[in-house]
Amino acid sequence: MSRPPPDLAERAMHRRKREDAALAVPILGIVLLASPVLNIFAGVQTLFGLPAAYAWVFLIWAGLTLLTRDLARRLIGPADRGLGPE
Amino acid sequence: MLSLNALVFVCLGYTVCLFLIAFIAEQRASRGRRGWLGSPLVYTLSLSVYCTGWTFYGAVGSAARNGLEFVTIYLGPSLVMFCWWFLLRKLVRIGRAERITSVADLLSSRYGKSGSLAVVVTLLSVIASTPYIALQLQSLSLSVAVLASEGGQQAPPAMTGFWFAVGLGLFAILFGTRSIDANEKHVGVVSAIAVEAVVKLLALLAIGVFVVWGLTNGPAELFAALPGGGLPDTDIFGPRWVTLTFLSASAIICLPRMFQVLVVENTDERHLATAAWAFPTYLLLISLFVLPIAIAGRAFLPDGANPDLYVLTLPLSQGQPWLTLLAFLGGFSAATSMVIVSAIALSTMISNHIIVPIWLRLNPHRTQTSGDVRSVVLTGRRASIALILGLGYLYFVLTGGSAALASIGLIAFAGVAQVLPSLIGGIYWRGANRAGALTGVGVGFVLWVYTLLLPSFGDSFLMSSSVLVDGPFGLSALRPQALFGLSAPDPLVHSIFWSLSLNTLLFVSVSLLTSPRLLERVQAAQFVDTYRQPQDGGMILPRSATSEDLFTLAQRILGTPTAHTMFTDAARAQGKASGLPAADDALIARIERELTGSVGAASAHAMVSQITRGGQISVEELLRMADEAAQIVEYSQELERKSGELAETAEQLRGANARLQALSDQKDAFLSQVSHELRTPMTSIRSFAEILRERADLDKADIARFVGIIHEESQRLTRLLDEILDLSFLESGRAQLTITKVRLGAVVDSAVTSTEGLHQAAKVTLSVDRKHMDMVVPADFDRLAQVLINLISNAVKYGATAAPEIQISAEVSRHAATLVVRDNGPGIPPEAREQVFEKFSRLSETTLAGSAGLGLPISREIMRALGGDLAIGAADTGAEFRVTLNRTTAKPVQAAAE
Repeated sequence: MSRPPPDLAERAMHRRKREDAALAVPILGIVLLASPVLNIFAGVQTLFGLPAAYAWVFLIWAGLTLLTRDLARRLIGPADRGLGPE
Repeated sequence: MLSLNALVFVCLGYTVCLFLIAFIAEQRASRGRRGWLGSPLVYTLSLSVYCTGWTFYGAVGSAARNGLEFVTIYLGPSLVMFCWWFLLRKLVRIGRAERITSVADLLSSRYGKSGSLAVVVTLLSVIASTPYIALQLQSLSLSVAVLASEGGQQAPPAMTGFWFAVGLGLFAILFGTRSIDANEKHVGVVSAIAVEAVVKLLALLAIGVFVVWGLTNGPAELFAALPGGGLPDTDIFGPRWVTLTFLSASAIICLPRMFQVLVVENTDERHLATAAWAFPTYLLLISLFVLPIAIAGRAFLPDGANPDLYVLTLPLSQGQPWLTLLAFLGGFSAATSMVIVSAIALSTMISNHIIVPIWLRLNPHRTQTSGDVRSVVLTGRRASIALILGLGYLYFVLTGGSAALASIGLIAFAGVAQVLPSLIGGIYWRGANRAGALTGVGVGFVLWVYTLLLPSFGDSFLMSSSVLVDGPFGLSALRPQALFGLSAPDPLVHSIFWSLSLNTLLFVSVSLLTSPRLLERVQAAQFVDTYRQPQDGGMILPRSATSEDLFTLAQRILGTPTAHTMFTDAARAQGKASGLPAADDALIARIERELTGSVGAASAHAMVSQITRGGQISVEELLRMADEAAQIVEYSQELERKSGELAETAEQLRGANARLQALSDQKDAFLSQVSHELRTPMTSIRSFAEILRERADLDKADIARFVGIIHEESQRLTRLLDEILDLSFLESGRAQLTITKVRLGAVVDSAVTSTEGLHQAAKVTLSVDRKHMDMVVPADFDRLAQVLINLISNAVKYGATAAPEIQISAEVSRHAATLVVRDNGPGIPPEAREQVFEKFSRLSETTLAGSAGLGLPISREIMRALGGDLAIGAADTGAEFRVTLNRTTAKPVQAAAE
């Protein structure tokens, strides 16, 4: 009962932030991978010797995957076995 | 090179391996040793059933034709996996809590266990999947044909397709319908699919590595082989890009096989956290080399080569038999896993939502035994698998080789996407209801068939080319590919726009315009608020649907208090402070036990197992059954109550009868008394009258004496009759009373004067105490005097002593005035004090002198009629009669006993 509240509140806030980030990842994905942004890379440009659009799509894709992995580990860490916003 | 026989041998050997893996996995699971089977990796790999033979071979073809577009098919699912935290987790949670068995079951369950919605979704899924399965058979037989023709052999597609269909059906039946698991989980199948997932990934990666670093010196050189890196020189993003991304995203949730592996086969919610990044990684890896392979195919293969088979023909043309074999096995894995899981998922839907309801309707009385339902379900599933593969094969044979098959995959995606609005709305929007879902899905279904499915057959009996060009009956506004004149560059985009927008619009508006039934509202809360329900050791709002359903069931049959006690105990045993317990096996077994006592073992088991298994009988049906049982219980309780009432009434009747009997006895006794009393004077009158008539020699004195006796006896008789009449009048309450203001002294004087002769003859000393004698009370003067005369006569008659005395005095209290008549005679023994008021009773026959003994009963009746009473006081010597009168009114008051 007499635990210092700032610690708990801060942790709750960080958790809330991670949950919000989990929502932000797919939105970011839509903006970067399913929007007119793609047309910037259309055509004959190349990136590291690869067609620019091809490189862009796979780079973003890999980036989002890594981001999700990081978030998933933070949301369901070994220290935080309970899943869900209980 | 590879001969056809070798190919058959490889296929069979590979399949046997899969059988073994599935078998071992099931054995391990049944012994509770899941081990690596329950790992998130297996779960992730099982999701790869998304990548079918169409994507394995067709993605390269698509990349060769349309460049980067193929990637949308993998991007969509990846984006959905990124939504795991708030979308997939919720789906899986709902799936576990509600024991969901399929997409159709999810929608049906969410929208008030609607049977019609389940049927619509099932039909939609079957129709969309049949061509899709045909496509797999096509890709399998095509790949066999390619390899066989290389070896100079013929492999007729119809023949190979048939054997593939038979083999796959066998596999699905063996591992998909061994038993009805409460959770619809198929460990063996999932393990085999996980292995196949590895094979197809390795195959594509191996070919990709071979192409990029074997045929050329790295990606830069490869992409330089074609102008622009092989990508079309146009905008990438456009309506088609959005449509394809959206369709593939919805497919990963709505496709029956995807829902099966994603939600139904999920064993642990935490696996999602791994799959959320691991499955996108898998998709990324599988699509990484698609474009390079396509470019290499275009660069190294002759112009006429089919791009859809580059994966196979590229290593073949480069003299790489082992790589070719790996590619073949990869395609084989992709196609077989898709067909097996689709067949299992669809058969579950068909048996649960079509076969079993029909069977139940045809056999309404056989639901009592659950064994029946089980065998029907199993047979239904096996038949459904055969039916699905038969349909797929039929479709493949009828349309085999047509170009239409190439787009079938996307058409199937578009078909099942019609479920998406109702599904997403169902888990996030409480207001979504059955009417809205049914309208939305129904309209979307029809529009999809009309604008996409039928036109895909080309010019056929289903839809002629004239309808395509001019619209049905020449109505150009209804042209299937330009509905209402909307000309879209792509029939797919056009169809998706119309079907999904109208689907969503109608779903939302009909939901807003209609109101849901009670069960829908309950289910809406269950689905939308699924996070607020208990997880392991959860503490907030414990309202799991299954335990609530069980509670309702128990309540219906056992009654609220019993059910409440039972569930509270169970919750406490589970360590919960409040709320419903989790629906674990112990609870279910206990409920079944409890219900058995009420409705019999068979019905209890059927009810409970149906409610825990879900899907086969609606909750309403169960509640109806429960109601009937409860009605029977209630009826018997009612009967019990009625018979209790009857017994009570009979008891009352017996009492009344006994009272009547007693009254009748009293009456008889009274009558016999009366006749006895009347006979005595009558006998004397008659005998003296006979003497007078027969004896003429009597002297005058005798005659006068005899006549005097006769006169006296007749007077006594008359008096007696008067008294009887008087008493009956008084007792019946018909006596006329004249109430006036009466002074006590006046009445006493009148009575004393009237009896003067009597007490003087008996030499009685009569004294009157004048105290209080001026008190005035309301009474009937004559009647009161009659009472006093009776009492004085009685005192004279029975108070016979040597020096008889009678004292009359008055006592006054606040409400009552009492006249006391006391004598100094022998008195009345206490046990006889009530007896004297009975009719014809006499304390001693010898002391009676000519009275019929009705004086005291009459006096008491008079006093009671006057609102007072007559009682015997407890005097030490002699008898004391107390005449009590109400001072204020002539109404009854509580008489003073002393």
